[in-house]
Amino acid sequence: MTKFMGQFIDEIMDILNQEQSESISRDLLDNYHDYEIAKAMFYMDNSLLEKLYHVLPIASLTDVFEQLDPEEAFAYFEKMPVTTIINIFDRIETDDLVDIIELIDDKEKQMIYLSMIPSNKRKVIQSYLHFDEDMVGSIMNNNYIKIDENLNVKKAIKAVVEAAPDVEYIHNIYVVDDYGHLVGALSLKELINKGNRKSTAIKDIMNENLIYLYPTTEIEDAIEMMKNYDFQLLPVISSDKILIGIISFDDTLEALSEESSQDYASLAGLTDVEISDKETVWSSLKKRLPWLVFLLFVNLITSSIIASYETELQALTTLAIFMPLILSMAGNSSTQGLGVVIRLFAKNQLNQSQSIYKHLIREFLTGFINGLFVGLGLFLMVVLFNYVRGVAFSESMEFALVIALSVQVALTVATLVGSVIPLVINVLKIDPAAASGPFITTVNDILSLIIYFGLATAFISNLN
Amino acid sequence: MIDYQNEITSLIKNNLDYPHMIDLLNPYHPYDLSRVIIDLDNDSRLKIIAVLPDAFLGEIFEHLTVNEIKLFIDDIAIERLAHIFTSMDLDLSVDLIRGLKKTGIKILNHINFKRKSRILEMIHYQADEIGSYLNDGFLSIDINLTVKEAMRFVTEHAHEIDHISIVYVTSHQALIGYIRLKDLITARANELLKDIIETRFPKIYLDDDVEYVSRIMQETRESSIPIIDEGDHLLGVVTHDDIMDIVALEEEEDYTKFAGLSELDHDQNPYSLKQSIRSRLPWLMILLVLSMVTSLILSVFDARLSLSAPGAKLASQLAVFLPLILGMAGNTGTQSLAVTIRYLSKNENIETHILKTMIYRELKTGLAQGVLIGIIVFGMILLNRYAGQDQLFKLDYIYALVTSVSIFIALFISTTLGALIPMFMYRIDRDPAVASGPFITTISDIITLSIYYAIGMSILLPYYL
Repeated sequence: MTKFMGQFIDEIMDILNQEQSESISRDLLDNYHDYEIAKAMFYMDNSLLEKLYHVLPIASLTDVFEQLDPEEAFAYFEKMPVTTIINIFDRIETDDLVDIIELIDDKEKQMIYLSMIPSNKRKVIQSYLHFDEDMVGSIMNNNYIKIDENLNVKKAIKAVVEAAPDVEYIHNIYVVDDYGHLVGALSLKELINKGNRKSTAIKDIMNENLIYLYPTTEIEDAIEMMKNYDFQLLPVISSDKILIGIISFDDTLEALSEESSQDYASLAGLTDVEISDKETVWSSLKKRLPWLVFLLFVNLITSSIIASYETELQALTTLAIFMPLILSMAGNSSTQGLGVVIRLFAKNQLNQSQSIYKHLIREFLTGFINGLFVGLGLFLMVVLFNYVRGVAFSESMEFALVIALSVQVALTVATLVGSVIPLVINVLKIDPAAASGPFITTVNDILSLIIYFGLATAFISNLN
Repeated sequence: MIDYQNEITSLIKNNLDYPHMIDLLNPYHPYDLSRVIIDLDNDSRLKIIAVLPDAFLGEIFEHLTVNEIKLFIDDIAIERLAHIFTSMDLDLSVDLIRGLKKTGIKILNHINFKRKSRILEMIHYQADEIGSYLNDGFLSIDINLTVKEAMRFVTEHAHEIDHISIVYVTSHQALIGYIRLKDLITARANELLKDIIETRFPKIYLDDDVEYVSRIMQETRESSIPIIDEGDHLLGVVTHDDIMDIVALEEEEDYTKFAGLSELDHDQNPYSLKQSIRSRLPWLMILLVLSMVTSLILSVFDARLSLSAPGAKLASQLAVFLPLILGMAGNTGTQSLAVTIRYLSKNENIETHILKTMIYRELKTGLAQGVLIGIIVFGMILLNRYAGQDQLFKLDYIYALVTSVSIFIALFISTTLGALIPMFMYRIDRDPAVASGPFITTISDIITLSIYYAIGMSILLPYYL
């Protein structure tokens, strides 16, 4: 006989409300279907939920959560102890997990939940969802040794030896309290050195000035910390200080080279710079062509600018001779400027308005001074060039001055543009790929052409 | 994140005269201490240095750069410096001694004979040779020991060695293999070492290129790598912290080259104007001279075109699409360059047939891109002409065809070039990263422009005359 909808809910609530031993409650709850318990959860207050998490074995609790809608499950997770979440994530079906992670809107929160998933499962999930892989949570793993703070040296060594076969790195050992909070760390070397003082408490020898990360820490920052502190591992903790994992130096190395691939990609105007041996023409095209077509249309602006100066170009065909030179010099210096900005961004060195201001001043001066030198060099070359071609001296001087001045102005502008565009794009939170080298070079082509033709028509006497 | 550096600074300021400063500072990481010491005023800094033990200072000094150490080195007695330097990691002390030049030699002369000769051996290695990263703090044990004996050896020596995660196993001084401490700990006590050690390890010699070693390190993922001589004697190890520095440095170097920047001096203030000009101007000057070639080539064509009024008209019309063609060719060149450099720098011992496949693929990619972009340009020009004059003449078709064919050829060649140049560098054992983005762009400018004008002039000029 089927029970009333409300009946089993009341029964489940009663079981949890009664003062009785956990094992009795557990046995009683065992009679109900996961689905029924899931339904009943809706009517429980926080203290009752807590009791349920405690009483139900993790395997059953996971089954219950698989019955819930992702939205519901997420709402419960928000109030659940981190260690319970980790245990459930360890067992829950991957597709259910994908649904839950997917619906979290807040990027940082998403990363925190992602970091609680065991690393092998996390990889699968990341491939389902398109993840920003620049936070520590995405390279974190659970391959580490943690020991209880109440152990003494002898017991600690025993614990390490027992754990060692299943763990990749045992050089850093983390110490946690009864609630799983990270309270200290020590190296295996320190533990071995204390080996003859067997009864010393771990509490007394562990290092309490911890260096740690959060799942939401930027990988670049983690790399810097690993470089500075020379650790093989760095612990990752949740916002309430619970140790949830580690990152190891080899994963960090991989992330480091990944980061620099991203820098390459943005400098070259590619969506992805990494290729495998299986790369095909088609996959290459998919990465490159969209950008090229976009750039083509931006480039048409240069053509229309030149078209509007056709009469000047016919009057003085020599103007065209120096056009590519001026454009490419401006392009080169903006690529340099961009190259520096991309790096500063990656290293998080441009996060204060003061440092941005300083940077822009420096870029301006760099562009200006480089412009002076290049302008001077070009002036001499043009004078020489015209002398060889037998152009009259006065005409040649005028022309050389215009060219040199154009390069000077174009270089200053281009260097500044190379660093301003990425900054603006960063503030506006547009896709940073828009700040790629080719795009900025194209923008500079347009600006340089306007500068060049503007100066030429203004200063060269026989063009007026 | 807790800011230990502020904590340390106030701790030092409030206890400047406390005689047992070491007890206060010992719980902190040497890196944080090094940052604080650099930021302290001169008097407080000297006071702190005076009361700290030499070995402790040695750990802090390991995190200082040459320029930082110069701030106060003259105020410390040479004999004391010698002691401090002796306690440091070999490779780091060698770096500092080399960088300190005269003062370095003075310090060296006060270091005990054994250590001094070690330092002198190492000092000859250039920054790009792995010898300059050699550490002599490692554990090595004889192959004939049992696990139990080996464990005893490790526990006895752990306190004096920095890196104990990997224990090296030798026989008659020659390196035979290694065992991770983790595996040693879990092995059965009466097992023989020779039955459980790993015997496959990369052979790295002192003068091996840092870049080569960094690639091997990334592949093996071990926390240290042994360096040996021709007789397989174990000379030292490169440890994970060095690996981190090496890889970061290599990536940085390749990248700066790609962006057309000269190498940066990491010791200096990143906001220094002088440094920023020094890293860019040399490249710009070289590129200026190269770009001048574009002007020279154009002037040759111009000499012919400017003879007549119709010629001048053609010259102005060719100029209209010049930046577009050069720009697009430069873009595709940079793209294939980035992909190729990245591939070459991340893979070791690439076989010739893979290189061939890559070139072939870039060739085809360039071909496809050229065709597509060419067709779009052809259409755009005709559309534009039609909008301007409401009908299309034969010359419009020819003009559009010339431009789009030039673009096609230009894209094809520069895509191929972007892959070929770094591969060529790779084949002749040069660093592929030498071919920078701006360099490729300039080379592709020269080729592209010659093609464009040659085609344009020879086909279009008769129609204009």
